[in-house]
Amino acid sequence: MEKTYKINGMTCAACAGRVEKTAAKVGGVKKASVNFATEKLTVSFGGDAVSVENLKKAISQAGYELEVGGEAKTVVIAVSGMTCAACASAVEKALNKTDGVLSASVNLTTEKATVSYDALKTKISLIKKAVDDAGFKALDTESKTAVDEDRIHKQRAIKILWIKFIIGAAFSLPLLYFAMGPMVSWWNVPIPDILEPMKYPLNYAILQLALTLPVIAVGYKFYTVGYKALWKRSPNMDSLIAIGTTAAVGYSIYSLIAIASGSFGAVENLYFETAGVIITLILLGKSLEAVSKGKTSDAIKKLMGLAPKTATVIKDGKEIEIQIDEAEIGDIILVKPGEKIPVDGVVTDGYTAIDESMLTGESMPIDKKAGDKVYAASINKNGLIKFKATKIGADTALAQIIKLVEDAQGSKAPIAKVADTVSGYFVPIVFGIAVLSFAAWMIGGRDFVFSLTILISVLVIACPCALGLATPTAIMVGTGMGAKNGILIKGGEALETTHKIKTIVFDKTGTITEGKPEVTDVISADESDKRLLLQIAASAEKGSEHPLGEAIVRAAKKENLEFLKIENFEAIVGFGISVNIDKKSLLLGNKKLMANKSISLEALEAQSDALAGEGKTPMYVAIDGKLAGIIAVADVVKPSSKDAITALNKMGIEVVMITGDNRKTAEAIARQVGITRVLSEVLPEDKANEVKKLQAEGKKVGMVGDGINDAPALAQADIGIAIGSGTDVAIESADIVLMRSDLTDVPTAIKLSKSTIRNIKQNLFWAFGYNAAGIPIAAGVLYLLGGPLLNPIFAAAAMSFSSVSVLLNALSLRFFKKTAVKESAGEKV
Amino acid sequence: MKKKMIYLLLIITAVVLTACSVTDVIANYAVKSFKDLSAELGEARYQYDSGQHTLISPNGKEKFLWGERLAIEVDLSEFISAGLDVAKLTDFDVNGNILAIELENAKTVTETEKFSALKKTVRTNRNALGFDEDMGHFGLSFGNEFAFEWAQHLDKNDKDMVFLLNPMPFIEAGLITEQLENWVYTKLKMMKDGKEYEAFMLVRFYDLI
Repeated sequence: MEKTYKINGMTCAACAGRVEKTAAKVGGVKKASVNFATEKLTVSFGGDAVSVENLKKAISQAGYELEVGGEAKTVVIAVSGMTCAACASAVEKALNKTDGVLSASVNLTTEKATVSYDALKTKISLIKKAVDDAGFKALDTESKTAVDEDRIHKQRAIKILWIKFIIGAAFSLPLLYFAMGPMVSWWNVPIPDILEPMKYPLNYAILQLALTLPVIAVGYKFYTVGYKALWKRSPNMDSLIAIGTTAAVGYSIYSLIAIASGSFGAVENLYFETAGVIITLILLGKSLEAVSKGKTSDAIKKLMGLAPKTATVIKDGKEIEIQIDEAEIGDIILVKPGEKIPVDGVVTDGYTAIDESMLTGESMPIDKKAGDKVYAASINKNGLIKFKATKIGADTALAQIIKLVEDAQGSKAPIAKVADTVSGYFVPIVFGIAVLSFAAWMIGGRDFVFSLTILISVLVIACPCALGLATPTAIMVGTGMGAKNGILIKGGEALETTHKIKTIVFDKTGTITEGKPEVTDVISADESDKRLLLQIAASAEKGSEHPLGEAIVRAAKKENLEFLKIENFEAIVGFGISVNIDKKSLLLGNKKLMANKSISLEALEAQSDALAGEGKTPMYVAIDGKLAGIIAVADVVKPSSKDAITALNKMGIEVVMITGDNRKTAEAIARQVGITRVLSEVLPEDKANEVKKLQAEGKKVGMVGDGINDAPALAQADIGIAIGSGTDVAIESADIVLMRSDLTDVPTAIKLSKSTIRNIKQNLFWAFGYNAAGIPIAAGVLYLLGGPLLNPIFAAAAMSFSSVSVLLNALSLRFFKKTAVKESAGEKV
Repeated sequence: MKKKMIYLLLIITAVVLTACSVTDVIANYAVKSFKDLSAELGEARYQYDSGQHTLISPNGKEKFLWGERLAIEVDLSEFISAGLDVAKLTDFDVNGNILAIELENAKTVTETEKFSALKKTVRTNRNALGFDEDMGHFGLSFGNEFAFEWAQHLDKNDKDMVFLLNPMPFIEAGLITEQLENWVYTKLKMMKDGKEYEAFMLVRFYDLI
């Protein structure tokens, strides 16, 4: 079992590593994984039950906060009928006694009850019932969705960071002015006489301290978190900032005391502005980071924001508007033109066209009539419909997609593990380099102030926050962009592996073709009645879920043929069926079935070859051990198949078609779409083996399919890609789900993967590059060679810029365009 | 309401002024070091007459005056021996052989106790007071590169009491610096409006400890 918790207080990849390690040590926890970008901890539990309290305690001891109660929701219910405080108290008591209610408070003045409840244990209708049972009347509700709360929480966090930055800047700018102004020889900085450093050094120093203290106050978290982590022997980015700025402030206070003691020259050894500006710049970086991090999950937020908040339910013939949380399975829901479908269901009345682009990316509205499925958040374009709710809340297709994308965004790509490992060792190594640099310069004869400047610069420039953001942000944007384009990538690993695909195997029926074959030819072996042959075959296939069988049944229905009574039905998987009709033994299936039953096909061999050559699938009918005829069925190639395969070929990816169909039919279809390598007459259970054989050639193999029979091959392939219109099993087995049946989404997914991995590599380059170049410069290597010495303030600016540049680069993935695929297929878009 | 505001402003002003006098470490340490200098010179080198305090250099030829006037006085006998024509020092206050350089617009202090008077002098003429980090000297500048300086730490400094004169007016009046005894003609780092510059000066210093 897996559970995800929100973690507060993490500031860098080292923090994420620390939380991961701590959680993994808690008894019963099998695996723990932290996504720094989403600030979420995903814990896999083993057989033993894990106490959340233990987990929370362990995380807290490590210096972070685990938010419990992911299922807790809050609702405000208007209550009428309360006349005094005793009434309010009675409602409160009734609510608090209700199972699943975590807390309830009633305000008599506003006549509202605020109820916090566990959505897994109770629902609003039950809470309302509790109010009604207490003798009062529960009216409308005002609920906040998880999206709203998350957005409000994040916006508040961003606002607080900005306020902190503004306060920091408001004090740091004058601090910088007073500190650096007198040192700028070409600029006659106007400074009040009473603050002249050479005349009133103590005033000058006290002013700087006074301007620095508020900046330290707004940046207090760097110190509380940083020193706590240091104390736990797990230093993080905050530890580096805390130590760097403490060194600067500590030495400046020492200088201030020296000035007060008569060593006026110490006025030149004040570094308050270093600490103040470093904290302010890092707050700026954190603010920009928070904004950018928010944008990385824009795609998922848009998805979450799609769900309507209310539904119109028909109850006792009346239209009642309810909160979406109150909708229940079986409710008959009314949707007017222009409104959104509130939950998943089946149309019971009416006819309309529905825009399902939010689910599939397909912009054309789809016609819906009674019996058709409708999905939450899709838009009813023109007709008034009623539908029966079949899936609500977390079970809707939209909620499932959101969960899938969220899980993917929270997962780690193998490449992230490199960054995590490096981050884990990074901070202690930086400490070592800083101390060694300090000692080396002291031993080399430089004074304390010079060596201290080096120490601060190294500590500040080496903060590894960019390193921690490099991979998760790109994965978040990448998977988010995929979801926006109808490509659901199930995890970071899938996203990373996809770009390595060298061979891609397509299932034929339902994947390359529409999967709805039609009967094209009925050939009788002995000039008997073709209608009778079709009638017998259709009777045998009645109830079949196989596309070819369904085609025969459809054809018989079209001819208004009656179905005959069948006996002893047996499906021979991969071959066909065996059945008795009118005491006659009938076999219907492919060439292999006939061969197994030693039935000669000689009489119709020429016709069979001709049909197959045209891309049609000949289905052989044998009655009482003798070939009776052929029913040819042909499937139509999807319009997008050729484009997709051309694009893949241009990308240097080998395309293989796999099918249980006969070789000639398969080759005919392959020719139509431009596939040269065909694996035909493959039994369903052998599809996975064929994939394995391709993998044995040393290639990363992708498999695209839609049916139950494709599931093992999808699971066997390095990357399984399921067509969204396919079966649940196929979707479950796949690493990538295409929401539409458009095969051009396959090269799009590969291109997206390539773009994301390239983006991750760029991010890692920037993150490592800054540190690799920054640390030696900060340590004074350039100065040693006659170059400049890095001021700690510039070190802080560079460090903040590294995080921002990594985030901006990750966000550039938002410009990923799907059209690129069609262009690569050689078509104008 | 207005009254309250005025009181508040007065209280704030008083606090700031008190704080400033406490935090004016250069003025405070200047007086402290001056006490050491005065003690080292002894009472014989101090004079008080009608509100005028005078500290006399060990050889008696230079004086620092504070209280009624804020000035330095230099006996020019040695300058005259080195070619100076006193008559040509028309822009200066020369009485006989005694040259007086006074701080223009200096605020008069009427304290009778010498150190209280000095404390008040440096506070009321605070712009004239400075500190030379390189030399370890407090100094009172009289303008036009004339100054009197004293060491912050007499025991650590070999120039405990220093008189500084701008040489140009004297050279223009015939002084041949090479022939001048006891005074040193040298290039020094100077400060003006927070900016450093170098200039030739005539320096007379005494190492008391």
